[in-house]
Amino acid sequence: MRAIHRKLLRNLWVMKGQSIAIALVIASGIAMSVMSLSTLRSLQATRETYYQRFRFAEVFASFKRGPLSLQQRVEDISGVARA
Amino acid sequence: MNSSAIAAGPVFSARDITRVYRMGEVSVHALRGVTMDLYRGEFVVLLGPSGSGKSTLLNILGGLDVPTTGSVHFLDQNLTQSTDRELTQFRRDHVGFVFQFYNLIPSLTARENVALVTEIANNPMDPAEALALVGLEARVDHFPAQMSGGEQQRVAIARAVAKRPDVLLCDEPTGALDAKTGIVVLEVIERINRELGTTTAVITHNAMIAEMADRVISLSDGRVSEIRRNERKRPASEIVW
Repeated sequence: MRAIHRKLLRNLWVMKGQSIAIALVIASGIAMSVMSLSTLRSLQATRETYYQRFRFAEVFASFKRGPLSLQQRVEDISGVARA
Repeated sequence: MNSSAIAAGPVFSARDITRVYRMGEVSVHALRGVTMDLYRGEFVVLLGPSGSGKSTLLNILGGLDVPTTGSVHFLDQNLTQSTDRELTQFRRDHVGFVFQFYNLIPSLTARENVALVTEIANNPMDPAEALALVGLEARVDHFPAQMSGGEQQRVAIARAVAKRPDVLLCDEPTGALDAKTGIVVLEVIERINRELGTTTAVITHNAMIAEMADRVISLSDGRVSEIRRNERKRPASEIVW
């Protein structure tokens, strides 16, 4: 082990109280961050699943009248569930 | 110092250097045109009262500072035109520093303090060998707090010489020590100069210490007031103050 690393370890040992406190604060911050991100992703996944399960459309398009011949062409558009 | 060292040319060559520190509207002239040479293997004492510019000159020679005007050469390298990176490399490869207040790492033993330097130096001594050179072979595993001031200064000297520098620059190495301990430290510096042939420059305001030098460069008010050669170098052990 190099002398500079020994110095680091000894200095950390001398201030072990502060070192542990700093480590705990950093660990808490990381845990908080992980927890928040997990919650966010979980909520997003739940929303996606719910929308899929109940067939919520992402886009609605309506018009009052159109020729029947258009119906097939609209159904052929990628992603259109129903026309 | 022999004549062949002079014939080989100076190791350090400072020409008309000035150093001005500007603090707001106030300008402090630490050096006012210093010209001097240091030759290979010689022992030089820079003598002068406080504020005469000794430390500023030593810092410039050691690449810790740069002059405001003038030029400083170490062999072929122009230190005044070197970048910070080049000066760092210059200090690492060629210069050993000893300061008044030791600057040892308190959490490392004597051996580890020396190892801190030898681990990044080219062709260094073994830390134990360097400590033996300053008579501290029995204290290698002691921490600075377990050693006297004189022993700590000897560790600082061992740390400075362990990388086999071309030049050893000592800024008031006995300034924080009593006379008896100071002489022990001077004996170590004298031995390093004699046995390793390291060019040595020692700063002091103590005129008695000047008697152990090959040459004495006296500074006064930022100028070289006198350069004299000692016909007979007095051994450190004979010096009293």
